[in-house]
Amino acid sequence: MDKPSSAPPGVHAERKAIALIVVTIGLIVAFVIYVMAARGLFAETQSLVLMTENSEGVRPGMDLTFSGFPVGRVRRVELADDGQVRVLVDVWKKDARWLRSSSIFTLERGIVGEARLRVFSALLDDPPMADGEERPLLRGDASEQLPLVLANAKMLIENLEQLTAQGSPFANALTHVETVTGRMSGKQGVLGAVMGSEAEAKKLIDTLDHLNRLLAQTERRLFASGGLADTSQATLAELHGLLADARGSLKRADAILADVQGASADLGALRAEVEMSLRKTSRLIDEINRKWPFSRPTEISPP
Amino acid sequence: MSPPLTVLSRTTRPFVEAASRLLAAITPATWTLAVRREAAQCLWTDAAQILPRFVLLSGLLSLAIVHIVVVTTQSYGLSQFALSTVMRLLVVELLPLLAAINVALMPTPQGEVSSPHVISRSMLVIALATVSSALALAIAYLGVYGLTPWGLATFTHTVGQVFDPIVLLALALKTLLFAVSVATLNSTVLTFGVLLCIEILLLVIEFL
Repeated sequence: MDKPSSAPPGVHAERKAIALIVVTIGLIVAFVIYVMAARGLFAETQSLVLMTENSEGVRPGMDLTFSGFPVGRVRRVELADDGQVRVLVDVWKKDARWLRSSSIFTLERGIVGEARLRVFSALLDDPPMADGEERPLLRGDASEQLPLVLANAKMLIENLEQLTAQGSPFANALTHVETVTGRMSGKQGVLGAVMGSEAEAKKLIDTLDHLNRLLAQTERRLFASGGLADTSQATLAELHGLLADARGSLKRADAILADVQGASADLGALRAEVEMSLRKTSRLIDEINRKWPFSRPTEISPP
Repeated sequence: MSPPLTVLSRTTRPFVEAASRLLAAITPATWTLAVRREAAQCLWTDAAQILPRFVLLSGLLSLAIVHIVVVTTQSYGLSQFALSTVMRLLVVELLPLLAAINVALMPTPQGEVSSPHVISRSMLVIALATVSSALALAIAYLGVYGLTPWGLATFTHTVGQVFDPIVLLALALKTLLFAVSVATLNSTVLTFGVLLCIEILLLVIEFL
């Protein structure tokens, strides 16, 4: 049996000690009730089942948020008979109005931090979601895209390596560009680059010089005093006079033609008379032919 | 007795004595009126001596840690984790350990530790851990949201997330084990060793 120690007895020490114990127990009980309330043990809930292909990032106790506010909590994650993952969510009744028949559920996984389960309800006038309804869960995983991004980056680097490798089309093109720019910086400049060599460029320049001289000579022949242009002008003037003469001749021909047309009006009567005379002559000849000694047998014998 | 047995006996003796003190303290027959009165007097004497000092110390520590965590998480764009980090760090890990260490460092009664002392010291550890944790939660709220009631819903939600049944059970078990160790063990060095072992063991259980 323990002996009571000789502690100095304080005034109302017992009561104060009991008060301290009561305060401590009160704090513990209040904290436990507060935690239970915070975990939604006293809140009415309705069930929601989200179906997805992969449960990575989903854990019991994680929040379902709407516009950043928690409206529910994951209760359980389980495998369905068809291999799909069933995420059972408890949605608080007071927040169930944010869940509509057209709501979309997403699971987003960032590079940093845990996954986030979100609900998006664009049409709040749609009918509310029923208790125990089953909906698909869409996944948006930033880290899942990493292998694809890395593969693409690798492919890009390989392409770059191929482009810049010795003997690659791009490297050859660059070599050609270097050659062309080298020629451009030569004595003949851009012309040397276009013609391929300085000799060819020089030929072209010589041709141009020759053409220039030819043009000067042509100009002299054409436009000098007594040149081709002057001669042509005189010829044209002469041609103009000839045309005037021709116009007069044509007018005279027209007059003659008009006279001829007037004369041809009597030709009809003359022709009738001639035809009548000819018919008379023909009848006379026929008469003579029927007379002896010009008559001949007219019997026709068959062949 | 062979040397290994001697070593074993010497090693386990403090724990056996501690267990016998604990058994004596929790036996209903021990709780006579005189023992209860003495326990109450011891509790209040010790509490009057250590409580104001410890509340001040833990308040200042909480203030500093809350400020450090909030500023650091804000600078890295992770301020949404500030509150839960502070709760885990202070309430779950640091303050129960600090309470136990403070009580363990108090002068022990000469000679045999009596049942009233075991009861009063156990109660004192639990009281210190509870009061300082409540203060730390209040400081965390004010440090993150300031003097406004509009952060209460988010705060409550974070409390609900941090203190899941396992964490709550681990916290209760840890505080109780700390209290018993501090109250029953005689040697301060041994007490610190046991506190460390309990802390590691519960961390392993919590995060396994």
